[in-house]
Amino acid sequence: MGATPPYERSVFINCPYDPGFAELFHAIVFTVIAFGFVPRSARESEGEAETRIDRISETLAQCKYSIHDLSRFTGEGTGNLARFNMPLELGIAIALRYERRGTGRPHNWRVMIPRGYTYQRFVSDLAGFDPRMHDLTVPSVIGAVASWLDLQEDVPSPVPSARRVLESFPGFLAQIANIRHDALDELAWPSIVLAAYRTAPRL
Amino acid sequence: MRVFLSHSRENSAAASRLAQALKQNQIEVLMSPQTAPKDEGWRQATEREIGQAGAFLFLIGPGLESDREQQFEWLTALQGDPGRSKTMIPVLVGDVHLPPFLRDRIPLHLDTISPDFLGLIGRIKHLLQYPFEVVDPESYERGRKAQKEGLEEVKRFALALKAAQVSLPRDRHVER
Repeated sequence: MGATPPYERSVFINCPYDPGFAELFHAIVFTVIAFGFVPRSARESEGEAETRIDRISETLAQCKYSIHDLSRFTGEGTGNLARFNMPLELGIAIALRYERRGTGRPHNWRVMIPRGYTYQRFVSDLAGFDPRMHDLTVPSVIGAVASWLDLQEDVPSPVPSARRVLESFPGFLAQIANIRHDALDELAWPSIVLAAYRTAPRL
Repeated sequence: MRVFLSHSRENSAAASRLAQALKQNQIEVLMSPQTAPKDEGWRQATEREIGQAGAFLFLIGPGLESDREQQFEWLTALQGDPGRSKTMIPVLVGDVHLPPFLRDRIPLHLDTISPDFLGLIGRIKHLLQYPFEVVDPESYERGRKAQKEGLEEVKRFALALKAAQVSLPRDRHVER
């Protein structure tokens, strides 16, 4: 793996990777980069020899911040199974926060969920933590991520407004479409990050 | 103009006095409810008040890190104004730092022992009329450079990853 970016600038993104969520995933990545942070993801270390959970834990531990989207909380498919990877990674982040309290290397996480208060039924332990709400649209996801990052100690304030991030987003998607086309439908994580770097709004 | 006055529970007394002084000077003040209204929760009521505001006064005092309600007010204010078109004025109570999202602002100060409400209100009225004066050009420039450095860090990291040829074959096949 390449050089590890600064801890204070690293944001781990834990969200669904299915095609139905792809645009929202890209919106999260794009907002993180527009705010001057480095997005980290399980996707960056795919192909390495370690087990998946070890790689994820290691990457998460290298990040001061993490964003966890729990949109896929319902059962799916013929077996009506829910996906537990995202809650599992959230659990790791919560443990990091407590373990590192007072160490000078804190961890701060945020949960995002679809609008409504259903989360109090499927993950009632989070009641009182004010998860960021979105309505599964790009503007609402950018708004949720931007407003949270804007409060973090290491944000380079000022930052582009969420509206500017949203206005630049189509340019990012167009670059991704071109990359995917040129690479015969492959889309590697570094290419996504570089496309966001090129198209992110500057102050 | 309606102004939302955000404050921590610890600064409730100072906030009430400031709100009263603002009202006496014909500035309509919105605040989160002291207690949740019967027909809606505290958060919904606060969201409604913040949505009606055309500008924000952020009363910043000690103990804000642990004040979940004030953090909620900040998040709601920021998420509800994606274009950052509303005026945001920080008012510091005591020796405290500005929160990150207000670092490029020139703060006003409220001395709770011998408060000069008249002077403070005059300054607030002026800034509501000339909102660009609340932005500190030097802090803005520092932020601009920091964002640029952050973006260069992103580029370095992505290129290093690319050089290491770490990639996922086809993202359309990934399930979690």
